[in-house]
Amino acid sequence: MKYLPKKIISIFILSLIVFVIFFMLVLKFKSKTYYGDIYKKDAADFSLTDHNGRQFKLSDHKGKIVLMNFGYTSCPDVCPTTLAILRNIILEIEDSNDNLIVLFITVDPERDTVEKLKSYIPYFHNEIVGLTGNEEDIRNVASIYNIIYFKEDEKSDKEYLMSHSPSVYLINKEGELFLKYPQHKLDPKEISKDIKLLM
Amino acid sequence: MNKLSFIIAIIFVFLSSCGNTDEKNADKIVVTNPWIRQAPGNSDLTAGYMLISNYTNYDDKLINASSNCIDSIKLHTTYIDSKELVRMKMLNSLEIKSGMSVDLKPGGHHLMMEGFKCKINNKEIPIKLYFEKYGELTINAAIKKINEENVDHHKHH
Repeated sequence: MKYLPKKIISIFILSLIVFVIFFMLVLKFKSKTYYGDIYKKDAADFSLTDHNGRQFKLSDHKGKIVLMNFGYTSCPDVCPTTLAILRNIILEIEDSNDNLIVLFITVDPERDTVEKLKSYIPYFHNEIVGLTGNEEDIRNVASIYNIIYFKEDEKSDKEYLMSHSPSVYLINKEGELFLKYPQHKLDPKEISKDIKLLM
Repeated sequence: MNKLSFIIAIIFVFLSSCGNTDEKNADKIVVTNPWIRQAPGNSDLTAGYMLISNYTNYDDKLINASSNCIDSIKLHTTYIDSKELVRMKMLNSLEIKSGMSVDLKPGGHHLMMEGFKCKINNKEIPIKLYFEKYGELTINAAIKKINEENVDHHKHH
């Protein structure tokens, strides 16, 4: 009789643990299969210049998975961090890289010339493609993908920071803008699992 | 008896070597794992990161940083605004409360660095940190190439 409350407490705690585990499992199976946020709309075509000076047309790569990020090279922290994550995704995917295109599209075409991108992008991985164009081209691409960007903290024509959308977007083999990874979801291992599922 | 003294001595040495980090660092500001991302390609702009722990019994503020090897070091923070845009702003100071640590890490607080004057093959760069009360603290920050960086960037929010 003396031990009954202890026993009851133990049984109660045990049942609680079993219930929590059961609940978590149910949630896991019920939730969507992908780590990224489902976006699902047609990925509009665009044409820009890659860091080797060649034309890059999105529709030429239909049938491949495309990861797309917008940023700029005069960015000290978040853009190189995202590029390092994209590098790690490529390393995770390894032998299936022929079916994966990784794009870094500048939102700062004024400073990010072909030469600037060529000296910057391959540092992270030689399979990442840096894209630039004239201001109007970039504005059009950003607007069809709902990417917002603007100059901030402008000290001179050459010295300014840009604010921009940091998310990484995934276009599937069918040419749909399928998944979005906001900044807090930029986990190379999880994104690689999504890519492998979609390959 | 000699044996006993020996064992006691061993235990004493062991215990003193395992001394509490807090005790060792009492009244100090300690910087752990300071590193700088190697500026990519021809770029002359990058960021430095570190963990700053305040073991003193007073709240303090990091107010400035400088280096003989770098033209300009500014204290910055990256944040996501209400429209999910990534933005950056300069901080006048960064508070580190007594007994607390502040992590300068990719996608968060960082030292923005521009204009590298020392040889590119330098593995470490000396940096002077200036605290409002603690004063000056010189650290050596390791320059990390892309393949030397930690993968877990996503935990920076």
